[in-house]
Amino acid sequence: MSQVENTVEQARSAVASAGSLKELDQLEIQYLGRKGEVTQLLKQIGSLPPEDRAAFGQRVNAAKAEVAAAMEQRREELGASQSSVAAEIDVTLPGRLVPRVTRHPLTETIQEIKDIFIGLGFEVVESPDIEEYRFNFGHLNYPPDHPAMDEQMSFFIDDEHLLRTQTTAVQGRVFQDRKPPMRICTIGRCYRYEAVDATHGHTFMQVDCFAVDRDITLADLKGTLGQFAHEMFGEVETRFRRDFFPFVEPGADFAVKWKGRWLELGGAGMIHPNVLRMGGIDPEEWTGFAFGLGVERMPMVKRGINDLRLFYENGARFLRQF
Amino acid sequence: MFVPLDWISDYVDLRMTPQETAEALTMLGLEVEDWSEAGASGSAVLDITVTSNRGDCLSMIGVARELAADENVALKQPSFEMLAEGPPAEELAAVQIADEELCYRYAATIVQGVQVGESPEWMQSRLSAAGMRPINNIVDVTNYVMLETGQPLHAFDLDLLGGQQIIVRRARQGETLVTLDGQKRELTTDMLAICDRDRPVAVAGVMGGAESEVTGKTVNVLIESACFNGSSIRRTSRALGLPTEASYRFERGVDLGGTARAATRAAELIRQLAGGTIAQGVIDVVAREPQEREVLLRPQRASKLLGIPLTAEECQESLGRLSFETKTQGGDLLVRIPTYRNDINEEIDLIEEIGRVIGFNNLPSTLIDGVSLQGKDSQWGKLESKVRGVLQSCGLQEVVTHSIVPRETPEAQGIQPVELRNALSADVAKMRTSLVPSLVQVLGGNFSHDIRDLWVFEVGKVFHQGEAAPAESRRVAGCLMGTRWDGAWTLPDKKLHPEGYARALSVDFYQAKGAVEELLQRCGIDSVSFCPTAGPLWRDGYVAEIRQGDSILGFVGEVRPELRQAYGLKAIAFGFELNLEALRDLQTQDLDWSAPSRFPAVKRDLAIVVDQAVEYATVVATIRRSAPEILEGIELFDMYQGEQLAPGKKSLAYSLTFRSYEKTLTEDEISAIIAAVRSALETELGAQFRE
Repeated sequence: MSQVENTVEQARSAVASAGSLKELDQLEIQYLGRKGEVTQLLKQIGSLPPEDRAAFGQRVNAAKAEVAAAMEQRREELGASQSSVAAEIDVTLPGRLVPRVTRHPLTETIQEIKDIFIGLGFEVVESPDIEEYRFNFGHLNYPPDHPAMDEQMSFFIDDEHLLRTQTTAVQGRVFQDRKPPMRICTIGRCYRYEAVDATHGHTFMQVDCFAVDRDITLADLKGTLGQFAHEMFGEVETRFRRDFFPFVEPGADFAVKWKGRWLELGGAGMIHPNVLRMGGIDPEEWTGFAFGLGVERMPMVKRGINDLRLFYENGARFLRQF
Repeated sequence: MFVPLDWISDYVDLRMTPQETAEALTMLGLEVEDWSEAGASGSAVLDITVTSNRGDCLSMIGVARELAADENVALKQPSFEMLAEGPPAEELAAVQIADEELCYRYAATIVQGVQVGESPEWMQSRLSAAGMRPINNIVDVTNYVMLETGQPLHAFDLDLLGGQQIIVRRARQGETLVTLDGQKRELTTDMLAICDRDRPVAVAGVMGGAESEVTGKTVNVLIESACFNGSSIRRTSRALGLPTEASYRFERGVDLGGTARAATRAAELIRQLAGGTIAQGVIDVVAREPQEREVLLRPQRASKLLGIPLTAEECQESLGRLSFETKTQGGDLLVRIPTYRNDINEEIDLIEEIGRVIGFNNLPSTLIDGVSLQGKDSQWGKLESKVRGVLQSCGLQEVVTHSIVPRETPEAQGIQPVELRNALSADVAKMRTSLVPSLVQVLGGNFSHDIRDLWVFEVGKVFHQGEAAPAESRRVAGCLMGTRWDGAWTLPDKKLHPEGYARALSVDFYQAKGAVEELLQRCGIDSVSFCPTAGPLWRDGYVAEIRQGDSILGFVGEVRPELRQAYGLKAIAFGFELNLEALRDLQTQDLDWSAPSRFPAVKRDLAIVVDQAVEYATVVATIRRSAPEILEGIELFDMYQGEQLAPGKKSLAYSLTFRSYEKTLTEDEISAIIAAVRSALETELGAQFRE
């Protein structure tokens, strides 16, 4: 084998076994660089008889092209399968921690709810946790001493105040300040005099929406809640069944079907004419719907969280998963 | 309420399976919580929750009526005839309603010569399946007819009623009664009592008295069927702590038109099961006539509210199925409301009935058709979102804790807490006045689960007792323990960053302050000062009040050791609490900005030695005052106090950055400024310089 063939053979074998692009770069210098082994072969040209010189030159140039081609091919192979590269560092060591923090799952859910209703033209308003009896009950058409109050077991503060049992209490406040048309959403804590267990708490969060306009129908209520369920839960079946709340008539319970079971999300209905009248709104001219949904229920349904207490215990190992 | 389906079948032909029946009732508004294939009586039993407006459905006939409407079949009423062969009832007893506000109607039938014993098997098994304990044939009949019709009944031993008289009146001061459960009850003057000539013999609508109850010796019975004011019964039942099947029904409304016939039905069943002779006639004292009211229904209005076109005929058909009689009036319907439907008061109630018969699920779904309104978040919602974002970017985890806190929770300084009148327990007793104790509790809880590095924050409301009324305000608070680098491998390189390494090991006052400063800066609030203060939640000497002018924005400091120990937090913790109202008032919506200068910066270090009492802020203010605006930044990069210095002294090393908007600064310019700064520090603060 001639020296040219020999050099080409060495180069090809070195290129074939090169494990990294970096190694390949060095081989390129070693063989094809200005002082590289293949390039150096040309220097022998002076010691050859003149008639052989042209042929030798062509052979070296061909050899150079051959090695370059082999390198190009190997470069592509290496680029295609990085895993075959030997790393200089241990890339499997864990990444340095950036602050590992999340929003609380209830905040996350509230934001999601807000986004949906804002998109449907609702304006978010705030209302107090310590509420007046008249807004929590009277303005919502609760007759005095009525058993409907049994479902609203209350924490009392003084003769005029209690912790609101439902965010619906915002209606009377809004009616004091605004005239229809309106689409209002409020989200906040509600309180019930109830012992704490996996599915009950003395505190829970509720989103309450209501709309008053000239031609609002029960079908609009169904459509709005259906749209909400679609955005929040995806393609789910929904159910409206008749239920009773003093401040709506007709009144309904709203549920979604999740894993084969009906899960009740809250109450809904057409705002009772008495509620509109107390708010200074003529029920013949305006109609409206209202609904109140439990916030905790949504991540519980979606994520299969089976214990309400987890939300308020704030264990880091729980929170960091959201 | 437990509803055995074989009992229901007496009144309606059921073609549905128990499961289908359960679903139909649920959709109609009588939610079936649960049902069993075969109860004690061998029949399926449904457990139904009746909403508080539908007292008429607290009966087998009431439930059957709903099913009949749903199935569009006839309702079969039982017989309310009685075979009365005794003397006229009015000769045997007298009834008087003395309080017509609280008692609307009182009917009584009398059966003489009964034989008290066990009721037959079929009746016992139905009562058991419905959740009532069989007692004797007389009492069982009263319970059976109550479950059947919804009308609570009571049987008295007629011979034990003084003067064979019934007087329905308010109890007198000091009157007492031993009720059937053996408890002695103190009655008050706002309670309605059933009395004989001499004394109370029953708490009206709640429970009968033990002294006049039917026993094995009873021969003559008086059956009471009455209609009382629901609110009054509710108050009495609650005051006595005595909820009963009877009070439950009266609170929810009993059929004023069905009072007398329930008494006849009971008398006849007693005659059949216990023998004896029924006295002729019903003693029926009526203070308030039962009236079938008429309510106008406009089909157009029904269409408008339900969102589907409805004709008068269609409305008529739906209402007819529910046994409402209708007649047309113009294009509208005049609807007669049966006396048992206390819940129907106006047109909208009838529209719900129509919707119910059609089925809410069968109505269309649409979106609101009208003017478009701009949807938006509240001002608070926007600010709170921003605050959450900033604190998260500072490495703080969001938490949500309860607003109701344990009684022994310490208060924020000088705040009168809002106490609950009816605390659930010592742990659920009052409203929080600060978020900080709750956050310390969160850290304590996590610490006990071996989590040592945790920085948390919460955005929420706090409450205080104002002068006139309880009030609430909004806060953001943070609480930090451990380091943000929770694992050795992830620590910054010790060789490259010795200072950073040491600081990363443990959180301190300045870490909490850093989060506060970042938050304030991002809200565009500057010229803030931190002034030493003291407070019940913070360790003395390690807390600052955050001020801007006259406003106090909040506090930052080390959590008082006693406070964290109370929550089992053994690690040192630092925290802050800011008033969101102040943040809202002081924030700048669109922060000022300026284009960065295109000229290079020049840095100079300046190390000075001053008395330990001289504050960082004073030094910075002095440097600022003595340098022109081209002094872009002042960064403290080292602070030292110790052996190398004279006692009572400290060394502060600053890196000053100069930059002009107009030109590249020259060495001479910088030197002149540094000289001016040094001179000011020397004369104003007595500073010495380390070269």
